[in-house]
Amino acid sequence: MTSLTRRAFIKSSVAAASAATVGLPVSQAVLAQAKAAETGWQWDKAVCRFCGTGCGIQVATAGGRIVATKGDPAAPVNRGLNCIKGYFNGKILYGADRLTQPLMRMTNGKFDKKGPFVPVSWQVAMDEMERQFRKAYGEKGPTGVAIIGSGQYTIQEGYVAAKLMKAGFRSNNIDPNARHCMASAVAAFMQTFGIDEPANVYDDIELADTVVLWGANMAEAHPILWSRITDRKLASKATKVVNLTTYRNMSSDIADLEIVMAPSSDLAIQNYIARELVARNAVNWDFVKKHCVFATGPYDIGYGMRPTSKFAYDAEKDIQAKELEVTLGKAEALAQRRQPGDKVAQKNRTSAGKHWLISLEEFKRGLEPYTLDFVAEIAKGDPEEPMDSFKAKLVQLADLYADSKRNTMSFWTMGFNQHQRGVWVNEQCYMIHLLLGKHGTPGNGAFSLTGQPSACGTAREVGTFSHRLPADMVVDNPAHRALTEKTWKLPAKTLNPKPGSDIMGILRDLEDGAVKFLWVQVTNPFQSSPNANHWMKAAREMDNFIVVADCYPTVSGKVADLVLPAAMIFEKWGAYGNAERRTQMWRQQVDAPGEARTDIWMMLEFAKRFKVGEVWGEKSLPGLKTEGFADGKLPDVLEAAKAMGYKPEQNLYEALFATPENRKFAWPDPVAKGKANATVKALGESWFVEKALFEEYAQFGRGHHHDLAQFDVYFRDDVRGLRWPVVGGKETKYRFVEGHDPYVKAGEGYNFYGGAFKALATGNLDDVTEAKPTPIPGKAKIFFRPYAAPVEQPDKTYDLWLCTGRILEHWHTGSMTRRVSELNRAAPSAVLYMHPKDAESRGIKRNDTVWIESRRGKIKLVVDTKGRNAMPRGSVFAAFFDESLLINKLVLDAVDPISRETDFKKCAVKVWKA
Amino acid sequence: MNLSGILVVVPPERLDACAADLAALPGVEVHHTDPAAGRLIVVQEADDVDAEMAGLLAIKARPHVRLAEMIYHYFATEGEES
Repeated sequence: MTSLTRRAFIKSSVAAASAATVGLPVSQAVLAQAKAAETGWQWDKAVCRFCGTGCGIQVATAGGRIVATKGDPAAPVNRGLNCIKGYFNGKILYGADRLTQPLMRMTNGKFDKKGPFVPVSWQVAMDEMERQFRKAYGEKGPTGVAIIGSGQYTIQEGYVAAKLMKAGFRSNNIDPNARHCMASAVAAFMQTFGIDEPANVYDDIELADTVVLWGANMAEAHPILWSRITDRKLASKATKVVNLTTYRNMSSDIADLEIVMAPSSDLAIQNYIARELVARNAVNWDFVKKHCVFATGPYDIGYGMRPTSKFAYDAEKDIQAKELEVTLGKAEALAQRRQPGDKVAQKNRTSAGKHWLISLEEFKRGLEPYTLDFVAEIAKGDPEEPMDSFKAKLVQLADLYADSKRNTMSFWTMGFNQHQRGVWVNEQCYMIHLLLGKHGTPGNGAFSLTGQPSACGTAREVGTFSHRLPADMVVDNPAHRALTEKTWKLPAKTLNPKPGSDIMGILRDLEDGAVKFLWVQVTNPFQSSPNANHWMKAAREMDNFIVVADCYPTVSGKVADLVLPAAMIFEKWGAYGNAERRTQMWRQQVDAPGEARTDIWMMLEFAKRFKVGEVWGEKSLPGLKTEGFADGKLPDVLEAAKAMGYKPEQNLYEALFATPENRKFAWPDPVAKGKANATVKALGESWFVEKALFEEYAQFGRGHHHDLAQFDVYFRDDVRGLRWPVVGGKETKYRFVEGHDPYVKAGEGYNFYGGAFKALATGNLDDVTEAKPTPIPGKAKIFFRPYAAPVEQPDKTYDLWLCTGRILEHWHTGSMTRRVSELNRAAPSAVLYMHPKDAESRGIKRNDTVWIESRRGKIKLVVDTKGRNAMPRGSVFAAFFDESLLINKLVLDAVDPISRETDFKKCAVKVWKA
Repeated sequence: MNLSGILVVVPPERLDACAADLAALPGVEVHHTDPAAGRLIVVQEADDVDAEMAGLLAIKARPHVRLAEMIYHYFATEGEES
């Protein structure tokens, strides 16, 4: 066949297969032709590698390579569609610069932090890693070592990392990039419902009459869910879409109502809506009285910055000082019932999460200042929009929420989560839906979307956060530690009760020399973290050892001391959990190139190098002060370990992972249908690592509201993932609701059974008045949280807002989507979106190169005044995918003080023509 | 050779005009239509990934296009292209 006719033939079969995938009528002859083109291919179900939507895909392999991918028509999430990022699933494996060998900085054959990268064997790489780990661990103990992990970890990878760190090395210094992405959502779930993750499901899109996007540009960030919203709007003329955003974006294209708001004014708008619901008597009082309580917490909680100026550049010091004391502006003062100019010491900066019960009357008193006039003044985001028009939009939004006949879904992602008051703003969305009694039922709910494929399944459910254990348990709860020690068969008090450093904490620990060994897995923190100049310098100039395991050379790889080549997605077995609690698994499809290995293999090989006797003896832990533990140290548990059958010379691989129970899961296994297993092969083992570890992990959730099905069930041909809790073989659509959730008994109606923070003190809007805890079993909390101004705002010097985010065709730091196989392609660069008048007043034209500078750094970018994002005057936007234009050098490293999640959306910059 | 199968949804009454409009885009062929639902299956050929993505964005930006999403991605190996 000539190449031309072959091409025409393949095109016809691509068309036929596409038509069949989405159910377009085509003839049998056409289908037969599509099949003919696929002769010799093997199709298998899998999951998309990218965002948190969790689209099902089909992957075709032939001759040991992936030759095609398609949306899975049987997948309920995406029904055969597969967005532009899905395109990369098959391509990302074959980038020209895949890492295929370990690379270490060396001079004269020895590790040298100042040396260039030299290819080395795995033996040499791991020998040096072991030496460096032992040095840091010996000098500093469990707090001197750290892992930065990922919401892109498979469930099993996250489980191995968490168990190795927490049970093995007794360190809680493990935190995922999901901290930058989801932590505010998590804390709000825990505070509101006592348990993590959404009550609703994607099916609600097709049932909604009103869809409200709160700072979520779904058209770009969640295109498949957006296509379902678009479909719903076409199918139901009554359905309205509202886009609340700080700039006009692609999601505005189909919106019935676009509200361009000022940064952080979401808090004020939510309180206006709540005030309206109360004033109009649109509250579902029956629901509220039966199932909810009212609560609030302190306002003086700081901004999660360092409390000292010791490490700050001179230009940073004015903002850093606000960590300890803030002078209230007019809006913030009125919103918090204080006087403008009041100086407020941030007394609760280390106890930001505490909260207490208040009365309905106090709740109403909190809402009182949030009149339409007051909120519109704070919230109007486009200086060119007339005030009357903006006010009318707010009223329209309140009308939509207040309409008892409309099914209402609210969606959000980073606009809420990456927010200095991210937990509050999540909670205020639940406030609205709980007041309405419209939560967790078909077509009604407040739905936190996720950004990464397993932010839910791994980072949250497995618990790869510095404070967490599996199944929503936490390290500083003695009962949770005891349960975990029992399941993991550890001696009592092996687990460290002191939460470790979160991701910004670990980076700051590198800067001040507290962490000396860092292992980065499945993420790129030196590009994706804010105020990046600090951490890059710390990595290169402090006495530390940075290991980066990745599939491509990233910014993090460049600042590392040792780079380990990692297998990716379909080169390993895995499981992800998406934003609607759907757990999905895939088989390994192809082999990784060269000497690239799975992250699990790396961790298990590393575990072989450390003995029980080295890690379970007494360990220094500076600052530990917890009941049942001596101050400043973890106890020696070796005697108890011996009594349990452990031997001091046993290695951690044998003690924690290759246990007799886990070895019962034999490899090969019929569920593999002949597919390979790179982890098992490289270990030279005969136990099915990923299956055994999944089953071990699943013990934590079964019977505890987080039930996962058996491993093999997820591989059945008729299963496209299952939404937990999976009880009696049945998945759960709606949580907390009778008739849907197996944990809610007949007659209860609703039961918000999550157990965290369910006994609270009582007080007023300002403080606790009765410390004695009142139990509130089964209740959800309706919080009052006030408007709070961003800590850094435009001023005379830095006169523009900078917002950062992602765009449709690139994903996060671009380490995969910018690295596909075509050579010599023109590299697309990040651009700076800007209002034409802001450009004109600075003498800038479209496509001009400009400097953009904050207190923390400056870079050059090209200006776009007409592109997909239309900025209001006073605001600029840049994406963070471009490793040659590191916008995160400019971003402020303020975090939500409760969740410790970074605010990437608000800092002040100046721009001038380069 | 990068080939993508793309679903495009347009108002049913404009299907023919939209099909002609899409077919005029570089590298785009209209293969199947579902007149009742206003759905088209187009195949896009592109030299590289940038062109592939730019092509999809261009389809999304055409008048009356309500939805355009990829379904199927085919990646040729070197042997097949020669």
